[in-house]
Amino acid sequence: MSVIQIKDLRYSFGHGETRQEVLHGITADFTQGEITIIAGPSGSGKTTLLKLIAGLRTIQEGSIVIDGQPLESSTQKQLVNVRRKIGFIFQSHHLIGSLSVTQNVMMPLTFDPKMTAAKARERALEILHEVDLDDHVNKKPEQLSGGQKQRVAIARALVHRPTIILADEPTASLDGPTGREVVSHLQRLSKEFGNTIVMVTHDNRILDVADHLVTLVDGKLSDHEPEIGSGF
Amino acid sequence: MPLLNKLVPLGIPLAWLNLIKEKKRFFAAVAGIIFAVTMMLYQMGLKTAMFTQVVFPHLMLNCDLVITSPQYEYFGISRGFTEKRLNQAFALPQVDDVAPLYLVNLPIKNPLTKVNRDIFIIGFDPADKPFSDEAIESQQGLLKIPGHALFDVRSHAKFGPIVDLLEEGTVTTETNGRATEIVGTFEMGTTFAADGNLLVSKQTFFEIFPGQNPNLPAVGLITLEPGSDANATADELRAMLPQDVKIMTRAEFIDNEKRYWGERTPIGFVISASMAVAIIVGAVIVYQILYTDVTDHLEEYATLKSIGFKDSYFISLILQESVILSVLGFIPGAAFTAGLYYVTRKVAYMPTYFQWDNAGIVLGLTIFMCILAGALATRKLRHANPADIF
Repeated sequence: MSVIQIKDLRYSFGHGETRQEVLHGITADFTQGEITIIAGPSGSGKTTLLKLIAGLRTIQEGSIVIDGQPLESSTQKQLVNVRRKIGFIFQSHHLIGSLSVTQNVMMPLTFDPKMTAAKARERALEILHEVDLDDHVNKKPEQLSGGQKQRVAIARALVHRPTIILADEPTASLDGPTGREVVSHLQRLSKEFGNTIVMVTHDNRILDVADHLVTLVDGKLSDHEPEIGSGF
Repeated sequence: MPLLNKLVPLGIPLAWLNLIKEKKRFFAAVAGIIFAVTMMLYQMGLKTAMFTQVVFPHLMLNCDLVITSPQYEYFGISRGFTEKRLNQAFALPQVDDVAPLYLVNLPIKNPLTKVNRDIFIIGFDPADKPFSDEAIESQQGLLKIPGHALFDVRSHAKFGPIVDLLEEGTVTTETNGRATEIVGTFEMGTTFAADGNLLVSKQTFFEIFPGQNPNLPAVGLITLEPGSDANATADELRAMLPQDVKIMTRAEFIDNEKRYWGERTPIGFVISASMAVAIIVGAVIVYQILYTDVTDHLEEYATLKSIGFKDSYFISLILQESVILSVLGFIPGAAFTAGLYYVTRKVAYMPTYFQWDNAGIVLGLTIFMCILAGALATRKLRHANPADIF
């Protein structure tokens, strides 16, 4: 079953003479429960595509349907509801410095009107256990290593059981083994929870976790799979 | 509980935690608000004290209506009016009694230092009852003896330790070069026009101030029969008497005094301007602090925005920070001001007291100031697109 449907998507930056099209008519379907990695060199439009899927940028041409909701015709309220079905993992963790690890992970649970503080805490601790952070639940983000922070970001992205996980270069700021470990956690948990993952990366060392690997080069998507380990 | 859960979802007090994360910035913000609160509350206290102080004598006067010269401005040196008008007023059946008052500022000699300082002198006929004050009423008979005077115990210390000296007997001094014997005390209080007060008989008044025409009192007091309508009688007198006098009800007389000092002198303007400056300074400080807070947390807030947090959540967050800052700044600011009031009472003899209604107004202004600053600070966040930040 397709969770994300993209059709003839085009996107440009600038106006007039400075206008530059970065996505040239992309069409793609992302299936539920699959991990899709969009690989490609820097500047190829990967992050722009991810932001369009998240409803963070306005669609100029073409269409994106998320879990049955067409983004191009969505109201602001509908876009907010779409975003609540999505878990984000960014290149930088963007954790809230004044909150503890547990409180950071609890934040997305505030959308659930039936959620109590006790239940939310329990849920956060469970998922923090899943990413091996039991010993760090009361720490502040500044007390964690880069890899630990990214694992907190994964826990935060997954805690409210989103339909879709969008990950933008989640290993970019991590060393090789740490990046590998973070992605392994993400892969394992998404399989467990049945999330659809769209991950943008140019880190060729993690491409093997993908169920479906596509490349984005010069604004065009192709099923041509890069050679694992070759890098971009 | 639903409201609390909305303000502090899942019991996570993000507004408070964000504020205290940067301790130095937090204390700077609170200090700024303490400053603004102190400025506002102190200025309000001064204004209230001023309005209380300037009508100390008025509140002690036993009258329903007042007659003055049309040029009358405030309870001080005033052009007199012809006493005949007071007698004409007495002819009305509802008028119970009339009493002329004579006012002047003249030097009195400090009995110890022998230095002359101006004191406010009120002359009246001891047979009248112009004051509704038991201490004055019980002692005004003593004023029938020429040269006798009653001294206001709330007068400035520059007039000497007259109250202490009185414990050993009467105090002899000089008023405008004439021998004066202080035979008793009363409580009135200083005003902007008087650093001290002295009550004397009409006869003594003209002995120490011989240049004044005894037929031209400064203020005429009219008391009405019980149940009489003061406003209607005032209208009747205005119609009956020539335009060479001004008729005021007791309330109008008091309002006139407050209006004079509040509007016709720079004092009221200076106090109002100081309050406005305090509000602006406070708002700028809070705005700077909250704006920096928003800027510093912009990526974090944008992350939350990208996962579905609405603008209203962030507005609520910043406004909570505003309210927390205003309350935390208000409490020590109010306490500090109470201390300043005490010092002002002791040094400047002004009746500056902590008043809950003033405190309530200042708390309201402080919260308004902080919320306004907070609302302005959220503009950057509301216009921030997470897509541009990451």
